[in-house]
Amino acid sequence: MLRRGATGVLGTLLVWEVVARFDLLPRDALPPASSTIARAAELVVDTTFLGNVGATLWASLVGYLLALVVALPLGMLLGLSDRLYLVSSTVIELLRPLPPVGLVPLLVLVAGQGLEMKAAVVALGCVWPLLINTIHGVHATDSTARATARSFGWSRRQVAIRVVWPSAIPSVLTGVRITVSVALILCVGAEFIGGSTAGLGSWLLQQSMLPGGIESVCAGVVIAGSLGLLINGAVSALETRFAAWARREEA
Amino acid sequence: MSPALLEVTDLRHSYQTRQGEHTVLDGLTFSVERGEFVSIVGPSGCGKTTLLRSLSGLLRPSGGTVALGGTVIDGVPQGLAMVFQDYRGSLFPWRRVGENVEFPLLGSVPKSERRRRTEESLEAVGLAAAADRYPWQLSGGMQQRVAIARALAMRPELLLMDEPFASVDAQTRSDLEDLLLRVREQFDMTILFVTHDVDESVYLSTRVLSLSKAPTVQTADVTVPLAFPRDQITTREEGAFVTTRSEVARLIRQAGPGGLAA
Repeated sequence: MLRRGATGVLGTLLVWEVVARFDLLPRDALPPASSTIARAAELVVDTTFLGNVGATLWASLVGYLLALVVALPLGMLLGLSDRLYLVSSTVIELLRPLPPVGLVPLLVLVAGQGLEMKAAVVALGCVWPLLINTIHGVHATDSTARATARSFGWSRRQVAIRVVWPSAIPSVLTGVRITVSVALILCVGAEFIGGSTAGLGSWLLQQSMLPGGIESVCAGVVIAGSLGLLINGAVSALETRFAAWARREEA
Repeated sequence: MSPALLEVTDLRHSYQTRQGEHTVLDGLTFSVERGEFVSIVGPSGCGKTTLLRSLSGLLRPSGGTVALGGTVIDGVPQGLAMVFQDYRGSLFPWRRVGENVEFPLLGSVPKSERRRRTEESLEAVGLAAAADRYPWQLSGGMQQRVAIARALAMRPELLLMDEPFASVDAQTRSDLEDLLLRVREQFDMTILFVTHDVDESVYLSTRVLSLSKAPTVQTADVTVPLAFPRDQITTREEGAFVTTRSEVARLIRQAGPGGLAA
């Protein structure tokens, strides 16, 4: 599995190198893989670059936590009641397709061009999938499981905490897996469009305007992609730890 | 005279549908004494599940009362445990077998006592070695034994069972029936057992109640004249088994909605 994956990555790099070296694409649009990777190696120890990456990660984290704080309790509430479930699902389906990046001009007016605006974009983009997956997980709790827990003499609150929440965790984690990489993408997009002064997005924008800066841009994108990969790996580890029972059960 | 363990008086339940009011239970009255094994049999759709849900406090009946140990219940009463037909849904897949058994005791029983009861209950159903496995790693019959062990760990005054053996194969079913009779003896339990299987009700019980189709009333109360311990082969050969079985089956066949056919 891992070897196949490595083979795929190496193959892609090779094709990239060949395409660039033989000028199949204009050189100023695609630098060769080798020089991009060499530039990336310089960047990962460059404090200015790292500061910008840190600003993006921080804004993404703040926005993401905001989305979690809203989505998890609200999802629990809406998923527990059949009536609220029906009422809310239509509203959420209507709100969900609104592109958060499209709201950037509005958010810039309200929240400026810094952390608050970026975090708001991330939160707006991540809250819907998180909310929908939480509601779904809560609502899909086995009715016999709930009846069993009630027959223990537990209050509704105890049933919610001890049975409904644990059984919703796999679905919640699916929502987390869908949204964590989106959080970074949204943040970088918000930095581009919102004209932020710090962050990976604004750094990329500045580099793209420098002569020969395309190499740095490609290197920055490669690094951002690797970050996404790392975060995904962390979420997979969480799923293995807390939701293995859900996958094994179907086996 | 001390009150019966379970006293059901004029229990009624109906709910609204688009076709109007639908009456499920139409005035059920019966009682269960301590130490009895009472089975309730009836045709499908006779409101057995509604009855059990009312008894366990999961559903508030439209009328009538349920008293446990002389106290009229309002909500889920203490001293009652329930085993469901759907063992898969009833066991919590994120908790190991032992953790499932001790789950209902969380917050009400000290840890050392929880551990003691868990071990004892799993021992009683022959699953002491499976405590650290997950329920979904076990066969259906074993999962239902875990559910029984969990009910035992609750030390209920009354054990309610809702068609508990309806989803397992015939051999497993016989094994579970005998296991249930054994633990009943060991833990000195009173059991109310709902089933659609006349044979099973006669084999297990000291008394069989039969119900009519909805709107449901009680149509018979038959005492089973068979001694314990029972045996899957010899008990079923006894004349008393055969006549009791026929009697109950006949009563069920005659039982239309609202009672025995004239």
